[in-house]
Amino acid sequence: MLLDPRTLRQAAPAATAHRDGGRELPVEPQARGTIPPDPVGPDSLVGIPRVQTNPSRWNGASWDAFVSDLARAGVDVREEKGTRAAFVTDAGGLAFGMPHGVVTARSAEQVAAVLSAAQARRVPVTTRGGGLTTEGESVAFGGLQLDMTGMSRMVWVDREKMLARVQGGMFWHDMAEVLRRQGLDYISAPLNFTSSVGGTLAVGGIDVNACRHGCSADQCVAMEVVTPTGQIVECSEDRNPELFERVLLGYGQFGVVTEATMRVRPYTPCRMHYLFYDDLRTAMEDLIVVVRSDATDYSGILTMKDRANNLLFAFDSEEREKDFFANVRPKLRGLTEMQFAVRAAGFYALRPWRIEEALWLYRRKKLLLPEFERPEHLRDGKMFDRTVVFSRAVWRHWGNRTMVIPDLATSEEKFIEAILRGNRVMRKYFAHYTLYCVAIRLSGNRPRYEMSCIPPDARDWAYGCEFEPMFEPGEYSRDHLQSFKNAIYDVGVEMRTSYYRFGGSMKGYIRRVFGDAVVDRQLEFKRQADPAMILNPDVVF
Amino acid sequence: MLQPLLLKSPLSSRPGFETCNGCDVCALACPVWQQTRDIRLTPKGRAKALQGGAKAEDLVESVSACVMCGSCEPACPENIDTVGMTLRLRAELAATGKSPVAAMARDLAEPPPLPEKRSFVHMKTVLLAEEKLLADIPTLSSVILRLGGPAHVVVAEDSGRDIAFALEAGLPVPPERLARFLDGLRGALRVVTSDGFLHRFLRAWLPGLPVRSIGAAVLHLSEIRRALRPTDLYVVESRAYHADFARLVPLYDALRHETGCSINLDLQRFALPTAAPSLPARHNAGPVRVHEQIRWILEGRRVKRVVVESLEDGEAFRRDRGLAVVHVAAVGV
Repeated sequence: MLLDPRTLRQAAPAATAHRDGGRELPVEPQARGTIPPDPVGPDSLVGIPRVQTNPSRWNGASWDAFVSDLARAGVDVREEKGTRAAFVTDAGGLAFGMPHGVVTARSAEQVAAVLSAAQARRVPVTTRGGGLTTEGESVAFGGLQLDMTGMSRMVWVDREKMLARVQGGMFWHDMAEVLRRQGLDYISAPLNFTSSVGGTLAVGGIDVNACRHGCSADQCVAMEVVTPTGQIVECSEDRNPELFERVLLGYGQFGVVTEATMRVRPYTPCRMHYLFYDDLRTAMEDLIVVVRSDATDYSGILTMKDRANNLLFAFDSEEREKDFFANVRPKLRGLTEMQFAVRAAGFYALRPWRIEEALWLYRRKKLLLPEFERPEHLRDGKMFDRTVVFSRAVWRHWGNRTMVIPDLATSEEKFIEAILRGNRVMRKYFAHYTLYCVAIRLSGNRPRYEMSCIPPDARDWAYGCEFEPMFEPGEYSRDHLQSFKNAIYDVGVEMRTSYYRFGGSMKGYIRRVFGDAVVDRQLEFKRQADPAMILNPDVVF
Repeated sequence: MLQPLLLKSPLSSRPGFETCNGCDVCALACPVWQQTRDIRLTPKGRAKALQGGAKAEDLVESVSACVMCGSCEPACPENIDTVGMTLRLRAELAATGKSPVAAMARDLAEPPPLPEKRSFVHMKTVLLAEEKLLADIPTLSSVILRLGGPAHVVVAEDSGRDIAFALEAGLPVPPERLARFLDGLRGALRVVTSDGFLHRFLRAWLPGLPVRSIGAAVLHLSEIRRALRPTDLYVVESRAYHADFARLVPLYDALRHETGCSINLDLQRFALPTAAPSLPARHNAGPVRVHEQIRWILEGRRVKRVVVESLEDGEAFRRDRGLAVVHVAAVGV
């Protein structure tokens, strides 16, 4: 029966009123039969503070049977508080969970036993290397925490083929310590000392030399993987290539990396150079020039707010350094430190009301620069152990018990606009912050890049930027931090970029960013590989 | 009674376990981590467990495993008093009678008898020499010579070793015992200690009085530096080194570049310890094996001679590898 709108209008209740402090407030009448705008529709969330919540905790239904299964398999599950408490959060320090128990992995066979039993008993298993996730991806909300750092040895080094086989839980710095005794070094790894090799391969791994060598995952030539159902499989581009491509940048969904064969190289100190910019756009334009030239071995942007932007670049050889200064440097608009200081002094002299900002920049420079110029790591203009220098600086000057580092990963075409928009978000939310931008050379069009930090429209290079607030002065609420993250990620949704950290508590963005077709395809792969969906739940799916 | 001692130290004003952000950087320098790959047994493991509500009794294995090399302390980006944290946990365990390390130290922590007469230390270098050095007369003579000769050096009757063992084990140190020890050092020009563990405490207890390890006290001598060779492995005594890290890094860095010798330093410039002087290693207990430490120190290095600052380290190298070992003070003699 069709309803007569006139009848409906007549049936609509009269405008009502409610009281606020004794004052009657009018309420607009809502015509019956019409639907008001959805107040929580996806696109209406932009700019609205949203509270971050942890995933629900697993109920532990089959835990005891699972532990008994593992005891029979000779796997020791530690359930005492002192052990479990060490894993309550990750580097982000915002997501908190508590595993029912912890297994420190010691062999692929043991990991296989764990996953096989977990599959049968439907027990969630959360893997953890260095625990340097920021969105709770490596935090177990109940179930088993599989601590991979127990598998942390160098298996072999082949100097002729320039390959090294390492266990998946090995920290990159520990790998470097072993390789350096043989005059070798890894190619590229995150600059923080304690990312694990396996964890890095699962997400990408970005270094300041990713512009030349690509991400860490692209340095991997083979892996031993334990699948979610407990099979131990060797894979590479030639052997089980489908699994190889799924596990690389697979966010831990398709297997646990127990060993990896990585490309290595002869160790060389590098010669660092810095150019300074007071304009972020110019710095980014010059970064693109540097990257396209392919004339440097390292490059990146590190900012203090957006008034002091540092384009750093470095060289492994003097030949490349000479070529760069002959052919590329003249095209760059960056200033020397002295030129920048003079210009900044002039800028702030004309704007005395911004003296506080100037003083902060000066204090920050005084604090940071000595860290990059430590004499025990510098000799004859060359930086020795750059990973130590950078990693120590990262932890000393950016580390915190709470770390919020949303990011945007873009194609070259979108890079500048996306980062400028992200920068506007940063200025709105924080008094002080750092941006860290690098380029990542792509290794063709690999299946591994689907649903990863490599945006689908990137060609040759992808660009990434981390937006890292500094929590001084004062403190910020969780709601503030979450709203900030959302505001950055909303830029990505609008511009159709990607992210490095899209899992864990930010996984609500996955379908909005990658689209249903890609996510459903990945989900189908996941269901096939992990029927009980027990491996790293709540990270992506 | 340990607590008041630690509270006197500037270390105790530094951040505690509450500040740990879980970065794991302490683990990279930790010999327990190197050998066990068990994060629970590292300072980070202890700090995070404490943050999660664990008590000292929950951490017996972790607290007992530490060899007190002190590398975690300069490593910590948050400047956490990691050594103090572990010592406090040891003290809590010792007080409850549940500390394996305390049991190891009980016979070593007996105070020495009162000396018959008190040495005159005014404006002299006081050498605190442990038993091995006192028993090795040629090496002791070299140390005295290199420190300025008998006219300028006093070998303390009271070396404070019992205090060092008690502190390491978390056992109480009677205040009168500490006062007696420190009184014997007042007025000295400087204190040179062969026991690296006491180093950090002496600096806190005697502010203004220079405290040096033997290595740091003699390495400025050109005759020693000239006698070091590229095929030497120079073994820094890790406890004193890490207690005075910021000051000593440039000294050893210059030594390495000047002489070409290799040093037991890692890429972060922390000293890889043999762990031989530690209480657990003395009792062949705990997860850290001296043999494995020596293997790792020597890996990839071609060494003809080992130069040591600590005779305990030297003995470990000699016993384990049969390498030629010489004390730094005896180099070039």
